[in-house]
Amino acid sequence: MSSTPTRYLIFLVLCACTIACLITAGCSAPGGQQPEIVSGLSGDLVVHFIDVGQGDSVLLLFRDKTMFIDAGERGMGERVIAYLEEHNVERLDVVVATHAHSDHIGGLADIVSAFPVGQFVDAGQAHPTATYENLLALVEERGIPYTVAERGQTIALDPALDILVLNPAAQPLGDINEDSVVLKVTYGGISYLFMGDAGNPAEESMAEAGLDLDADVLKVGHHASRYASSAEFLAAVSPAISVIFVGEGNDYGHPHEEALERLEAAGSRIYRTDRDGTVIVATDGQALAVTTGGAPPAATVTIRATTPATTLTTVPATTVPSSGISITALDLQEEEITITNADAAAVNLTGWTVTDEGTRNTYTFPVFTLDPGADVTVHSGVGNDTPTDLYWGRGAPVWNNDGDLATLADPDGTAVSTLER
Amino acid sequence: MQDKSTFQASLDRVEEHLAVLLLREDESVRFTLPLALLPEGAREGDILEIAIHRDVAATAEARRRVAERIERLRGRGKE
Repeated sequence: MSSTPTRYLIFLVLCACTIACLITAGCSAPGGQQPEIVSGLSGDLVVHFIDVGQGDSVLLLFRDKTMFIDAGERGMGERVIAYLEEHNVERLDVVVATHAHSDHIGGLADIVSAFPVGQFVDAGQAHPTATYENLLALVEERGIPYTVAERGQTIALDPALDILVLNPAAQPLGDINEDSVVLKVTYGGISYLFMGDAGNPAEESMAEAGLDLDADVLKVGHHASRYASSAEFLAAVSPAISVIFVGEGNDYGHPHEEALERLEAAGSRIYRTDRDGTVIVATDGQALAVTTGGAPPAATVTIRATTPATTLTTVPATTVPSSGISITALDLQEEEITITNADAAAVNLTGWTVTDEGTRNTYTFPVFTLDPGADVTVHSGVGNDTPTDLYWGRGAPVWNNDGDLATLADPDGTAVSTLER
Repeated sequence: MQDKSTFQASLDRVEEHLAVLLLREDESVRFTLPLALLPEGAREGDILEIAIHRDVAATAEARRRVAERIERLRGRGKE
């Protein structure tokens, strides 16, 4: 790595703290280091955020155990059943109804009818809809063990998993959303926080109770409503990954811009079911891997360094043709690398990486498609991404002015193109 | 011929000044109304009776007004 151009020095002086935060995404986190997000991880804990439009549905698979949280609106039951069957689910050890609103429990009657259920965990608020009443009748008819969740309880799914009930409190807040069942699931060094539709009052209640809210993956409360995910709450959680259940063009304006801004300010990577479809976040208890679009997680395990990570990788669900993609220019002084698509078709570069010699630095493409015949330049510094120019966001040079080797790799890590300068 | 229908709906929830209603008893039909149209004090979980009347007289009067205006406009075009 090379001589430092003046503009970087200035940049460092002015914005050292901001840039450091952007790069390490963890310096402001009270919970310490952020986990590494890698590609091609096959963890024993796999959490599926199933796209059910405007509603929630989560499938948690841990070794041979299954937990299921909410099932979207009434009409989503069949879709969810098909998804569970695709993933060879034969029984649900624990089913959680976070709260009685129809966008969470509407599809649950179908699920409870389709699979044997070991335990039904409920918020236990007497909501007088027929949807809820019929669901409870079904649980009763089938003799499914029924528990009302309360702060401090644990759910014993597997000895290697800690599942803690953070909400509702023993004294409920008296609002269906705010009394949502909130669960924190911890496996090794990784935690997931499932908020249901809990908003600011529940967040404050949990904080006042002194609960450890620190988590790596946040199922964002209430479809990223502006009345949830306060800055204070997000500072306590410091999620590396946030997943928002939201239906495209919903009547309620979810996700609200204010909530998205707070999540971005917290340095979290945001996934949305309206744009990403089903989102799968897997972990081995140390690192995280994200798959979008509903494809199963990759089968290979990535060996990771023990140092805190700065790389972020997404695995796109679709395989991408790569024959016509190559590095066509590398300017060591200007800190620019240009990639060209000679294919006749557009190529999805999401999750592709650019690395320098010795893989000291890795750039991962955000959601990005390169049109046929088009090229894109990745600048090492900071800027706003456009269809022709992307920015690595680094405060220091990446390329060695005395000579360097650039490698472009697809999301599987297969080198597609190299260029030496 | 019935000029009136009544039915029940559950007020499942309120989202952003919209009342989300489920048509009872089946509740497979979901629809929204501006919260402001609900009676004061309506709250989540309430079972609401909704009545719809055809206002035959208001309809006839409006139809007459519109027809009149069309005639007026057509007459103006000929001048």
